[in-house]
Amino acid sequence: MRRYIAVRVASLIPILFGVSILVFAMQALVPGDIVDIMMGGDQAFGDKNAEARMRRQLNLDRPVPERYVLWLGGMLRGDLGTSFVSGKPVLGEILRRLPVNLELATLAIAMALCLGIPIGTLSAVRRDTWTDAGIRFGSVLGYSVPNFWVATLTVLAGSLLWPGMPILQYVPFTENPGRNLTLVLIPSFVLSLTVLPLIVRMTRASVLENLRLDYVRTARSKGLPERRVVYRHVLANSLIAVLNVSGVQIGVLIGGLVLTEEIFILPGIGRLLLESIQKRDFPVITGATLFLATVFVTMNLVVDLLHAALDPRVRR
Amino acid sequence: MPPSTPVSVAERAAAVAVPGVEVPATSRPERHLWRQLWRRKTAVLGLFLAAVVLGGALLAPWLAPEDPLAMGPRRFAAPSASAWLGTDQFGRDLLSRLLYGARVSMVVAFAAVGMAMLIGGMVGLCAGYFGGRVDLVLMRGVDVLMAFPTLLLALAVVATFGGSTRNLVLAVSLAYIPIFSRVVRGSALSVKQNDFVEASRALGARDARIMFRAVLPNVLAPIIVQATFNLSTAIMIEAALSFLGLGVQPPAPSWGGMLSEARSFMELDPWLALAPGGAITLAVLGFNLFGDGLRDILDPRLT
Repeated sequence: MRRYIAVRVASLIPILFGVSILVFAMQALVPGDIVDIMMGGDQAFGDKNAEARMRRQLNLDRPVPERYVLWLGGMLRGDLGTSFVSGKPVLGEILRRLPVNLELATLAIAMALCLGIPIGTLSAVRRDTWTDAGIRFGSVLGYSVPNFWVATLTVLAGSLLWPGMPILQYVPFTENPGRNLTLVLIPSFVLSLTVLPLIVRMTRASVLENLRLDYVRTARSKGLPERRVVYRHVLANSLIAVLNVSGVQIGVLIGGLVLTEEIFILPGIGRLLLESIQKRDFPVITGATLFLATVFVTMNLVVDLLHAALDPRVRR
Repeated sequence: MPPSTPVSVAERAAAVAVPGVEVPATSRPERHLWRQLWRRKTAVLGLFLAAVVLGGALLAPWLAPEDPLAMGPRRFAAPSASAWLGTDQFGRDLLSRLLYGARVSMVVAFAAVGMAMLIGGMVGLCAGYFGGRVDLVLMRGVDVLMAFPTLLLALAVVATFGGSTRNLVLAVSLAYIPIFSRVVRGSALSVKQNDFVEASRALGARDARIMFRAVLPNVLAPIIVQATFNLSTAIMIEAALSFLGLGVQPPAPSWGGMLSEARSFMELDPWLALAPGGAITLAVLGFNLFGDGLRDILDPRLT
């Protein structure tokens, strides 16, 4: 197992290296000149000296490969650059908003699992009944409905039900847990709907697969009640498959977070990214993209390692 | 999958190696496929929905009662005989805008998935067929693209190059290249093991010929299934990017953009938010149901 972990962690290095090249290339490929964009694209008012100074500061007077090495060096030391707009370090801005994302994502995953696993199991146990058909159609419908539409309609329903309600300002959990939860619970639930259908589907499929296996026959024939067979034996084994799809889900969840934060006006990294895209604040765009991609591959690795820890066949 | 048409190893090898000699079409697998598809109610429903959206997109100029950009005096009009879905904040006909919005959606989805299929398919085919160092290099590149959540990668591309139909296609197809590479590579690896590939090589067929005549037809089924599902997610990503103001720029109608604009007026007129979201849902649902049916038939081991 230790060897497996070492190999997997090491495999992350070339991927992250490639990710850094891609993200840097996008920044370098921005049509037009970054300094012009920062100066508002207005040549007439541009102070040539100030522009030249800025170019030197951003290393824009150096060749691209050298710029990449300097930039990567900064990244490795935790220096994600400085925002064009606020003048603050990008990493600080990201970390300041990270708790919002963590809270939303954790709640959403918890809700999706708490709902999805029982629903999926029910669907499998009642196979080929109306319950099963309903759940299956519901899950197809569930991942066909755009989550940002559901979120928008939730906001609409809120404003129709409580007209004239003021827009609530976001409060961190540490300051006022009650207020924070009332603000975050509904968005988390809406976000959980992005991953719920697949969890239901995977649970159903893998419970059905496990029900066919020999150990279930053994458990049944030694006289265990059906409930115990399903909940203790089958479900425990099925959960590994559910864990296995979580890697994909994390990506869906990160994408969903960007939209959820935008619609429910929550100050997370997604909103930071969108705001910086609007302001063409490139250091923040690249920093946030790089950060989210790193989180994504790391989480995927954690899922894989967990999978290997639970299922020895994976290790080899 | 091909095993439904029994063809001997020798015949396959001959078809691969000798130009002009074709395997006689004894039973056409396509007809078989349609019959099976027809028996699945949900797949038929999916096909119907997809056809409606596609037809609406193709025939928009003839079907739309109004010019989608023409502003009228009646704002926020309720659905009526003259405007079936009512009008928006500028008095524009909602139905006409939905129909033209379908064009953006379909163009982006089909172009992006087509491009990803072509590029990703080639990458996967080469990686799977040649193996070794080629495989290593190509798949490392694919791994890098996989390191981004789909929406994030598309977002980064559009943020860098600006929002337009062309950039949307570019963004979505880039995000989908890895999926196709992986699917095709996996299938190519398993097809490569077959005797008929070995046989055609022994008969002196060149690599390119083996790849396109022997390996490619055998990976078509998983590619088609994957493409159908990706059409539905591509519609979703296009809508999301347009919703965020990073897709097709207003006043051009797009479903995501319409939903986003509706946010300021939806308390006044909930229809404005309901209609475009409903259109996205039906389109995505259509391709998903159709894809489910296709997968059940073409790729039974995945269910």
